Amino acid sequence: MAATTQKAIELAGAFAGGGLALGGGAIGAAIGDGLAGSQTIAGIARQPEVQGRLYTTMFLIVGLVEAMYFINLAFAALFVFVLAKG
Amino acid sequence: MHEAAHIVTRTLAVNIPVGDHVTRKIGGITFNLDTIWTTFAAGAIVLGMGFYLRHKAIAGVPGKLQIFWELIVGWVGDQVEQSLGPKYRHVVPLAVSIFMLVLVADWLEILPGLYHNTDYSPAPTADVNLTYALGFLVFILTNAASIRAKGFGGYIKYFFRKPRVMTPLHILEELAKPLTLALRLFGNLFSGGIMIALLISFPLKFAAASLVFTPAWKLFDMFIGVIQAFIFALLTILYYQFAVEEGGH
Repeated sequence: MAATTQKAIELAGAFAGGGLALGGGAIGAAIGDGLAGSQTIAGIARQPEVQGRLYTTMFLIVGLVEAMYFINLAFAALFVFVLAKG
Repeated sequence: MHEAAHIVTRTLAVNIPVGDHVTRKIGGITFNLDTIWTTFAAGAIVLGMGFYLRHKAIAGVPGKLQIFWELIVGWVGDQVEQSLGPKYRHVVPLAVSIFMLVLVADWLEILPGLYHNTDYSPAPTADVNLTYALGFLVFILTNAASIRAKGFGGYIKYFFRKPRVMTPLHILEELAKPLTLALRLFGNLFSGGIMIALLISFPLKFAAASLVFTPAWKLFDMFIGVIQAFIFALLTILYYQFAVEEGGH
């Protein structure tokens, strides 16, 4: 009986922690992508001929920002599927 | 509402293999064999493409593979020229190799293959071991280039530059570079694999949803693979630039 209660608490904690990790990561990634995109639009509006270079920089920044989110996703998967199972 | 809960509980009842590898213990160390042979496969593909292009390169109308390869080499060459100058042209083959290896390794995920709960052809970059190895390689190479450019004294003194109180942060930043390189690549590819496993384990009643979302996610995963290869190569060049740039600080 104590074992299942402990298992239930572990599982609940893992899900809550995973959800927090995903939520915080998604907010951060969305804000970062939005900022990068808005500056790209402003730059293109000011100087249309540097569109190619601005796109390259924008994709670079999006990749770096999304990395934070994906690291969070990997840890959430770790919590839910590995740590709270055995 | 009830269907959503049904999906979640049925999906969780399925054992999603996370971090399962085909392993072999040799001398007390566990080797992830599937990562090793897919890395070799990716390397063989890249080398094969290179040798094939050298054999068939023509100055007339180039084939598609030649255009693709020239695009990459051209971009890397421009980037190195812009950041490092002509003295460091030897960085171009390193960056091109890293880009092509990571790209092919990421795209190996498109081959299906699940056998008794382990994948015989996963993307090798979805295993931390390969990404840590690549990050460590870049760390060694950039610091060696820094020592060669500035001398050992100059290299140490670089950590003690003017805001002296920030020295531990400078050391930490230097250690964080390979770590973030590795974890960024790993996290992107690993979560791509997990999402696919999750999507294909929907219960049969929701097969339509699964059939729509799975290819969409797969295409997005391919795109992410390209972006991550691009970022890894670009950051390698940039870390080289930071390592060898002469003062101004």
